[in-house]
Amino acid sequence: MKRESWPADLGALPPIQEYVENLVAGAGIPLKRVVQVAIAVEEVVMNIISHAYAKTLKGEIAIEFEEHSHQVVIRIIDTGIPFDPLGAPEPDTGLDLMDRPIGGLGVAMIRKFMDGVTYERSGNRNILGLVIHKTE
Amino acid sequence: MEIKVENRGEGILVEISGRLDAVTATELDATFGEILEGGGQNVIVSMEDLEYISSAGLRVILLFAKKLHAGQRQVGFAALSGNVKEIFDISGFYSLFKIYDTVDEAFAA
Repeated sequence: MKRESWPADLGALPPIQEYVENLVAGAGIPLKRVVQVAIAVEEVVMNIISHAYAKTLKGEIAIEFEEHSHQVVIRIIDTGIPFDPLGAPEPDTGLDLMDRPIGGLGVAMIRKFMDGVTYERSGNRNILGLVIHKTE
Repeated sequence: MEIKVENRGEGILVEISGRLDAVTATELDATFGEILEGGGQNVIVSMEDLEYISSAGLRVILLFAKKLHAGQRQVGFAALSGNVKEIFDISGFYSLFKIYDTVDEAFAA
């Protein structure tokens, strides 16, 4: 397993994505899917910054990466307040423009693009797992 | 991300390329702010060379569209492909906006 961590702020997003994209591409995942993973990781990281660390403001985001024979697993870990992004309601994408809420689309993208998504609260840690199959 | 703005007379063309993420979304928001202040024309956003869009980018687009709409103006989108096309689909943007295959088609409409 590979692991690295960054301070939880917006400036960490580009290096976190570079780290994840290199590992995922190195595992043989095609480019289109690598971009989907990067988008899912951004959605998780932004949720951590704005929700899990919203009150305490300080903390780290750790990325763990595991490559298996048929899939890769990415875990995004923070020590903020308990926050399960998967508990958020699905956005209503049928509303008119002026009634359409701003936000809520990130989780929809995570669910659509990833082959598996898990959330676990373990001790003081939020652990969000993303599973990506190596073949479609 | 790169943003190009061109006034074509019959409308404003905004070309976005590269990555529209939480870091670069503020740049696009600033460009849209200038267009909102600028005048009464409709806007076409070309996404031909956009390879990445996250919810932070969708949020900026949705806010822009709402503000344009409040001023009796419209925004349309052209030349979506790959992941960007899928994300517009997931987000229900196809039922919300006029979406064209090409920029020429958008301006001919």
